[in-house]
Amino acid sequence: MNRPGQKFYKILAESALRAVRICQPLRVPQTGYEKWKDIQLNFNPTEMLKG
Amino acid sequence: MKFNKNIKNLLIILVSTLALSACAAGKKSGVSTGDVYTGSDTIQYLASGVKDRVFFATNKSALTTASRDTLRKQASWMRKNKKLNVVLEGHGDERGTREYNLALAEKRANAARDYLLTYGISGKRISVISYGKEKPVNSASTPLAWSQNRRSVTVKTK
Amino acid sequence: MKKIFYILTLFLFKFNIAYSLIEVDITRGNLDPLPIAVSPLHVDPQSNNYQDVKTKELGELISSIVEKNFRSTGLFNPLNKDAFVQKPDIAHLKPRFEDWRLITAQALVTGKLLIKDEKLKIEFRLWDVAANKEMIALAFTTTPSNWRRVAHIISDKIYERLTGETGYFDTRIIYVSETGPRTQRIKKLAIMDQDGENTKYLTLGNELVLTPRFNPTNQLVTYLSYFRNLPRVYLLDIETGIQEVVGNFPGMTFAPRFSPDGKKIIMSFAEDGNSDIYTMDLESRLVERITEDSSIDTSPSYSPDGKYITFNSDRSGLQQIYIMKSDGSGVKRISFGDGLYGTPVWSPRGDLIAFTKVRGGKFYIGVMRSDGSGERLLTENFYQEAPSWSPNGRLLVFYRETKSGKKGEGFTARLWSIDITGYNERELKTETDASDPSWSSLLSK
Repeated sequence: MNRPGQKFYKILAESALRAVRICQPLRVPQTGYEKWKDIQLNFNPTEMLKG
Repeated sequence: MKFNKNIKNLLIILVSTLALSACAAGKKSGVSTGDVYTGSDTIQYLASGVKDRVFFATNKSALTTASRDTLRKQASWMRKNKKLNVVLEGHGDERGTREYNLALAEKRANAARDYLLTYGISGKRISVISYGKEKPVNSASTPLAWSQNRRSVTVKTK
Repeated sequence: MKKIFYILTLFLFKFNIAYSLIEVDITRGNLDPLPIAVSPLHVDPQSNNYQDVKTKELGELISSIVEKNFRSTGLFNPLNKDAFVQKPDIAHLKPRFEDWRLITAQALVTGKLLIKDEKLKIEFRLWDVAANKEMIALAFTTTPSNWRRVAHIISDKIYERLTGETGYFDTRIIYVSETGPRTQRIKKLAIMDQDGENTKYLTLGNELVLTPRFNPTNQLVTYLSYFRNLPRVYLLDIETGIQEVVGNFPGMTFAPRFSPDGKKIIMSFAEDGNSDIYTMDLESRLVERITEDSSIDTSPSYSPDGKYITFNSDRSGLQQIYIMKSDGSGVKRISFGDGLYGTPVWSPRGDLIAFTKVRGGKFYIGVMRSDGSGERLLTENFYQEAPSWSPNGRLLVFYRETKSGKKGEGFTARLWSIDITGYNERELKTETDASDPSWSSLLSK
């Protein structure tokens, strides 16, 4: 999160947190936590731009 | 043999007359040829035989042979009536953007003006105004209407 | 969110990956507007009446303007007031978040107002319902007659807090009001709030007026007028209504805009049929010629830093878009697609140029980067043109003409707006038919 446009990342984080809170309680797999506890999410919505 | 030749000549004359009348029919119905309006609707007369307007192709400001013919007659009429002044009103069709159409209509009216000047009419007697696409004479959305709107009209000023 | 976790676990089972960083590319999603509850503002019972302001109803009037603004973005879903449990005054003090969560609100707006001593005092708060906490708390004072602007300013603050973008609600739109039959249109300059309210007419309709644009402080308008049958660029002071011709040009001037510092007008001047771009300094009256070409050069628009100009020229044969330095040097063509391009206008963010494109008998509103790359056509129609940017560079307003009959009957001209992502195309409310819209900057700066 250390890139230019800090304000947008804050908004994005808030939005993600809101989504997670609303999704409570989450049903996640009981095993293999070590494997998926660090996930990098790459948001790239350019496909959704019209035209 | 002579008989055959006569028939041949007759046929040629017949065919060419037919072709000519087909052309005339086309003009009478007002169908545009090559995008420039060639009909007689919307045209008014400044004097007997002197049409008041010339027409243009899409995105163009060049004068056609017919336009030059009309303007030549207008020049002649202006020479005979030395006290008369005119304003040339340039117009465009609705199929273009507004500001560009203002410029294009100005160019069209100026093309007509420049041609009148070549016949010795004083520039002081001819002013120009562009209306872009603001004053269509035909508000329909057809190629015919658009061709009637792409025009430069000569108007007597008081 | 749940779906993502399921997909991830499936992925893991299939590949049995040893520890390495897992990357997920999220490229698509559903666009669901954020459910937001806008509680009517609580009106302090100690409030006085003020002129013709409906003090008792003000709390609801303001909140419904805020709701309407949010709904118009396509990003928010204002919830039905009938479902609200908590009263406005209590909600503003301490919302019972469970109540608001029950109606699926994710954000809540509350506030209160007091009219006393000829002043309107407003307080409002934005709450994050899922996190049970306050996000913004603001208070300000103004004259009571500004109550509409209060609603727009509140909307802007909330919009900015939730999206990260500056808002565009406290703005006005100037446009040409049109009435009458197609061959004899009456055109007047009109100005309104961005939500279609508060319309005022600035000219009487006695002469043709076209293409009005605001100056950076939104106090002046430049436009084309056919006053006395001489088409020229004019300046109008919105407050006083005083109009004056710009410069002393011997021929038609048109297509005017202000420079970003408001000191100059840039426009086209047609001499002997040839249209070139000129500027005039409003203080010194100094005129500078910017283009010198035998082609038609028009529709100039400055970059927000004032260093470049984008314009429309047919020097390559047909209408295309060019950019050049503000002194006229370095002319470069930037439009290369199929068709004709016109009305280029530079975004206030400097990143994009919006334009009108004509191809295959259809009109498009589009955007491209200032080097011409990334061309995207946002909307297609039989006839539409002249985009103008919202001050945050996220929306375009333009106008569209429709005819219900082939002979030109049923002619209407309306203003439309669209987001630059191509979403949320909608018609704007105007009292009459309308064309040539131009969006102001934020009124509160």
